Amino acid sequence: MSARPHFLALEGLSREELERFLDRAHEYREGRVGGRHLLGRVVANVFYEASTRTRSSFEVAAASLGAHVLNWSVSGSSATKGETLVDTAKNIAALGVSVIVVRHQHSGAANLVAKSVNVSVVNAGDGQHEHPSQGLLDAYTLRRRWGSLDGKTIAIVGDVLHSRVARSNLHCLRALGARLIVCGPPTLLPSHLQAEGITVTTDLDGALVDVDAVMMLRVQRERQAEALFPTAAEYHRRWGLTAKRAAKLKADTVVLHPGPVNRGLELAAEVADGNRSLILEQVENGVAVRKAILEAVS
Amino acid sequence: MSALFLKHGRVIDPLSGVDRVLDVRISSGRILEVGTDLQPRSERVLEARDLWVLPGLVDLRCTLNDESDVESALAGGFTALLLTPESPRCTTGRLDVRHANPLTRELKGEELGEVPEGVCLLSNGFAPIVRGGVLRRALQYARPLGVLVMVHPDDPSISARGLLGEGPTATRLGLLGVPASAETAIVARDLEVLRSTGGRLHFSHLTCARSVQLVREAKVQKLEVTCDVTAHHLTLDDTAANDFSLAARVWPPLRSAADVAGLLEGVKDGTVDAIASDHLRLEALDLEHAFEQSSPGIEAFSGLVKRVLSLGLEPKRVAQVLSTVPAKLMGLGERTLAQQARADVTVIDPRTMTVHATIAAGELRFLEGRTLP
Repeated sequence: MSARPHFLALEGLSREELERFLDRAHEYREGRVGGRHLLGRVVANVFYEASTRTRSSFEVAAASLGAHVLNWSVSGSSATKGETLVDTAKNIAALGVSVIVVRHQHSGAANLVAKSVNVSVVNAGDGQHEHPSQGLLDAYTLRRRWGSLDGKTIAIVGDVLHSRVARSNLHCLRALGARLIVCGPPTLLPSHLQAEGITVTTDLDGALVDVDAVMMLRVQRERQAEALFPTAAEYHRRWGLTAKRAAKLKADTVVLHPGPVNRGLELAAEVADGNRSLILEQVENGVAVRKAILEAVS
Repeated sequence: MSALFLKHGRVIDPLSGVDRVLDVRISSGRILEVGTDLQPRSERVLEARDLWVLPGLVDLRCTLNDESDVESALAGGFTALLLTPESPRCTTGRLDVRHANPLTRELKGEELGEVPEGVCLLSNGFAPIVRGGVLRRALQYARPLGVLVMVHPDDPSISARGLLGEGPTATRLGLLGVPASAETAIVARDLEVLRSTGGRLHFSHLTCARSVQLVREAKVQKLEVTCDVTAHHLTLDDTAANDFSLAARVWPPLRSAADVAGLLEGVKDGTVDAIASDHLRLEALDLEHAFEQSSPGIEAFSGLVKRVLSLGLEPKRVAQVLSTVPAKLMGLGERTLAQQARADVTVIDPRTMTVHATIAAGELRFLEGRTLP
């Protein structure tokens, strides 16, 4: 419907397009630009799923660009009274907002909103599809550390099947020149990943040899009830980044996690808090990256 | 009752072995005369030069919500329909509509459904038969009655919350995939049950090449098994879901190009007996949700002939899979264009791959883009 710029997915973005975002985020991060580019605009945060850090990060980014932030409350309101996603989106658009930031539990939701309204849409995570702002901030965090991702090896570990973060990372990190290893329980790895030129393994110890970064994914504990893995303890033993495993990593290998961390499940507390961890820096960088995104779509 | 004269059409009638240009005279709901150089009398003349005149199309599987679906069916060339047990009742007099009786009570897959006198088939609609023992009892019970048992092969513990055939597209879009084994494991199980019980078993809307191969092998071994596939599963693969297009939101799910090729192979070599529509029209509101939340369904009547003709099948095979074989499975008797047969006729334009006219029980119900009352 609309020809407005959206930010829906990292799939399909070229290296140049990705780097333009990263460069702009860097200018914000280093305080080289302050601009209140969104002064007088309204950015609507429409979150169908609970989220503290992504929502707050977008809110801080929008506010510091001068925008007014409208937090449209979804749970327990219209959504449960039978209003369709398209209907809700049209109502929010009718308020005159400039950008809709949408988080939804179903894949393709942001895409549908973008097709339905004449307002820029930013995908803050849709189902198991993509979480493009997270993917971008992960890439930014690594590039800030290394200068370039070219030739680096990055392991993505855990529940890849259900992870939108992993899908965004796969597109983005590869486009920026990194080599990827995907590792997790066989029941939590999606089919047909190999076809995309990525190394897939279930052996974490093998996967971690010589990697430059490890991105741990959050395990949703309710998955255990679906018989996807036997117990939390077994998960930790086979696919958790334990202190022992972390000790074998190369000296300068870094650890990332999109948060919130299940301490003691996918990631040992001492690793999350250790000197390899970039977890807090990811959060910090998230604001700069989201400023670059909001600026690009408005 | 209208009197019609189809002039110079290519009459394709598998049951009488006819495939040549003929004139057809229709009166009082019957085919009065078929021959060369007949002269129209007072009948309404339909020029059929370069058109295919087929026995009226029969759909083995659809859901009708209201009269607009009847309109679509007539426009799609259909003269007889078998509704799924889930479908609302339909009381139209414009074409022959039968409602499938439920194979199990409330389609729960537990207790056997009642078998009224004269019923020739039982269907479990979209509901899977989870327990093999229930299928076994159903086949045992139906066998001496000669009743056809129609099943939707799916193991819901494998298909789970899946939305699209497992494969690169599902992975990329973050839509949970449906493994082929959700279907093939049940096809294999049911064929083994059939082998021990006897009876007549029909698989509705197969989607996997492997399922077709299992049925092929069973037919070689003389098991009484039949199956159908839908026109959309023969013409769309899982990549139709790109961009989360709701055109791909169907159940059972779309699968890989290799599966599509396997289904087509089955249609060509006779393993697949019929092509069904699986028509289930969605309301506009259903399209306002994300892929996963929207209900599955497809407006299948309207484009079906185009889809089937695009497959490049022999005209005789088209008549078999869309008319004579589903008619036989449904218990409608012989669908033929021979003299004295009931005048159910579908006229198709093979150049545009569209329906030119639909004649149901001797009445012209659709002609050149318009349905008639």
